Amino acid sequence: MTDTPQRPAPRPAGSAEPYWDAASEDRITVPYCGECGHIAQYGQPFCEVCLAAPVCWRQVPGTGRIHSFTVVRRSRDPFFAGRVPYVVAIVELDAGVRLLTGIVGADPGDVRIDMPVRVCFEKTGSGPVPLFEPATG
Amino acid sequence: MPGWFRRTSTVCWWPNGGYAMAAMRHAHEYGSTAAQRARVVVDQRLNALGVVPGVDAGLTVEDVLASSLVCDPFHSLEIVRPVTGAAAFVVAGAPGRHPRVRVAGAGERTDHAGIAQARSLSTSNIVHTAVAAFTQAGIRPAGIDVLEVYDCYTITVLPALEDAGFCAKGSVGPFVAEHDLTWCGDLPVNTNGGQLNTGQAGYAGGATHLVQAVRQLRGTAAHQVPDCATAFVHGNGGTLTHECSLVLTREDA
Repeated sequence: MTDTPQRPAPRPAGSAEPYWDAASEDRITVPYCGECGHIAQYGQPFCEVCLAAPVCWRQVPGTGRIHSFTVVRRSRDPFFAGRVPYVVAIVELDAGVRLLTGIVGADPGDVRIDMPVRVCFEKTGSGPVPLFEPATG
Repeated sequence: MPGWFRRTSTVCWWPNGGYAMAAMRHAHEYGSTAAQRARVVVDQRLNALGVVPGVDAGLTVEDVLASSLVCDPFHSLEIVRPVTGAAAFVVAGAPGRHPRVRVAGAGERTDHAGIAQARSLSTSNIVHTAVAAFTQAGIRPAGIDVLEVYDCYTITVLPALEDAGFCAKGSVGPFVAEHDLTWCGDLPVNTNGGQLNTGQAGYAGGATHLVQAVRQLRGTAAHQVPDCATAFVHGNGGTLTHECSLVLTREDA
């Protein structure tokens, strides 16, 4: 039996740990300002509205639309090379935050900007990974 | 935190994917096409012909569109190739042996860390950096003789022409089709062939644009733009993250 290439494990930076902790429980969370409540973009060290530093996290529905995408047709990574062609996208959550993710469950040729999508969690040896699939019905 | 998502297991996409998504979004919002993007490579190939070692044949738009899709919407000829190389320039206060080139204006801006956090994928921060450079120089885009614009992918050139004010926002597709971007054309862009035809020598890639602008202003370029007195130089780092614009002038201009 040969080793099947595994999806690379998440290596979250310190500030991203709450996001991945929630993802391990099949939940999508977004950062917001503990002072003024403004929902921040991922990775911001402080609030762009009031400049306060405390970042809190809140669960949001895992629904949104594709803001933009690409179809990757070549990869040097052993795992992803086996999945080409695959779709990488920036999804804008209905909560107003954009994140980088992958689109699954759709023929790459059918993916469009503004397509409604919802989160799904791919189970891997290192925990669930949030990806998105077309939202139907 | 540029690697906030990239370092994760979600996707494997960098760096082609970020620029590809910017190209997708520009096409979605403004209708820019693959053939219009291809014009950048085709015109710059003519600039490289006979100057860049190994570049001995022209390209057509059809050639670019027939090259393999790597990362939609990019064909392989729209993507810079890595090479080894170096570029250098000297900033000096005192007159040297060579004709002097003046930094007449400069603008710089850093925005998002990761491309997903960019305020816009179709409008770059060049809208800020170019205004700063042009204002400081007291020169308008119409007064520029040559453009040397960062071109790791075709898409970095198109919105740059819009955002720096050389054409109206959203009009760059028809604009590049109607104008001649070669060194002997009416809007010379990347007159040494650009990185798309010479390759990207790591971080030296951006400096090659500056070196070429200085050569044009000194009148020593291989493909010399006649009576070249003003240049617009633009560099981009990260994934449309860091933008830097310069307006250079010939000392006697």
